[in-house]
Amino acid sequence: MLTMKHLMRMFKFKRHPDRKKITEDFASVQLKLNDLETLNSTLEAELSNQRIKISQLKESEERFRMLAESSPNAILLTDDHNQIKMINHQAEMLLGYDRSELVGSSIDVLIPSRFRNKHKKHSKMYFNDPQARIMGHGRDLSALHKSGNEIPVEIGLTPLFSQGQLIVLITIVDITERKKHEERLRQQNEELLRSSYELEKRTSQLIQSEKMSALGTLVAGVAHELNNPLTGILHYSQYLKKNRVDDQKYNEIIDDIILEAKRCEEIVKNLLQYAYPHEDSRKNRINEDTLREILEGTCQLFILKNNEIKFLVSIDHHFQDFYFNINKLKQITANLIKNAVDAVETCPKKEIMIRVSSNKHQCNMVIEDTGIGIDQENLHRIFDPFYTTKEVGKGTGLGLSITRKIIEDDGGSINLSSQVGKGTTIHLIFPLIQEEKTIKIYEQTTGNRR
Amino acid sequence: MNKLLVIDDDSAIRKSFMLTFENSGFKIETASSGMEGIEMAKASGYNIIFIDLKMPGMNGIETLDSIRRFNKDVIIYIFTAFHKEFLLELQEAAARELKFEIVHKPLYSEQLLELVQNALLKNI
Repeated sequence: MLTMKHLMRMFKFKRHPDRKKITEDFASVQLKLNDLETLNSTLEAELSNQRIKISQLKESEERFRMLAESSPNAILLTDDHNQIKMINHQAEMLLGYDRSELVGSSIDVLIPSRFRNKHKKHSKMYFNDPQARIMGHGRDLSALHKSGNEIPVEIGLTPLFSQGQLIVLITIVDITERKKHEERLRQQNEELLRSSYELEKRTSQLIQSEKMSALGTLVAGVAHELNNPLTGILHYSQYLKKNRVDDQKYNEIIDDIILEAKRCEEIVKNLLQYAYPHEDSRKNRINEDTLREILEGTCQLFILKNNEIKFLVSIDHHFQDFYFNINKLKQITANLIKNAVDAVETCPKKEIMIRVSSNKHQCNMVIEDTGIGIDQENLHRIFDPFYTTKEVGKGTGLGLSITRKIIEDDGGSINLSSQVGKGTTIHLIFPLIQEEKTIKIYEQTTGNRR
Repeated sequence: MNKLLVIDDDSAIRKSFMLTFENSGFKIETASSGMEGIEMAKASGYNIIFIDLKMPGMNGIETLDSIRRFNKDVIIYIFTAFHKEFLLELQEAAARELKFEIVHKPLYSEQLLELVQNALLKNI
């Protein structure tokens, strides 16, 4: 450092003739020197201050790094241009990158491409009003691993101001395990719901079947009791008809009695069929020709009554034989075709399509009509016994319930969908029982019933 | 003349048979219970006997059983609307080789006549 002695020595070597001037100069130099000394000490103080600050800053940075490194979560720092400034070890582990690869690059590399555009928009909004918050609240976020795999994550954003600059502290929590756990829970919950629904369904089916069996017993009793008086009425009226007198009105009335009695007989037959659909449990092999004969034969009968109706019967050439009691099959198809006929009767478009196809396990039959349809409200009651939408005398309300009983008892199923004004479609499934053995055993155990 | 016996507790059925076979060349006799029918069958010979399955007192199968003890040959029809509740007994009767046929009610007059004529033709 420059001292007074040094200065004195310097001036002593260059003595000036004008001593007074020299003294004056010296005094002014000394003044300046004082100023310089003051300035110097201020600078020195400032310098040491800065040194302290730097060491403090270093210390604080070091603390921050230690804090960041020791965090169990992945941490990143970005600037307000989404450029990565720093990442911790956990982040390296989680994302698969070395920090040298990430620092300096855009945060975009960590965002799955389909979210990038949205992220740009969101991040702009964030920088307008930076607040500490959870990112993408309520949405599933994922981070892009170096390998290209996505990791489900939860992200926290904290804005920090450092040296007048906005930086964002990003904490990333890997929630893969939590997601897995949630998924397991969700599955278990679903399973639970399904089984409780199944239980409910079974219970209601059981109640229904108990009701039905009680009803069946009642119906059988009533039907049986009705049969005797019915036989009487039929015989008496047929006797009167045979011994007719020449009175047209009288004869017409007798014809009506016979007609009505036959109608009663039909109802009774249906009731008994409903109560005891197992009367005939022999199974026949149904091949393509048999099925075509049954279907076309039935349609032919209805064409005789109403030739405006267009029937279309198609059987897929991959058709496979199945086993079903032929009389029951006739009854089922006749029932369903009759329903379709009744449905199209008052409609301008009168078409009934019957399509049959098979696969390895089953034969599918679809009966579709362009009729009046059934509204949703009534659709679920359609299989209830005695439920009918037909006018009095057109149906007993037993047709569909009997049909379903017959089909389900033999392992098949029937489903119905309908749209008012468009028509109704019925899906029937008959199982293919191909082993002759099964049939034989079946016949042995039930064959002696007639 | 061929003789038929109808055993049924329901008078409508008995009367129906009478009317159906009136002037048909068959003689019809009726009984309103199993017991009465058995006595009549014992007393005179019939070509065909119709027995109602469900009757108070002796039912159709018991009546059949009794008649078969003294008459193995007469044609017997068990006449019924449905036979589910007697299924086991019917199977058992068939297993014991009691000869009988089942006819379902209701039967029209012409069917009944036809049935009887065919049965007698076969039996000649």
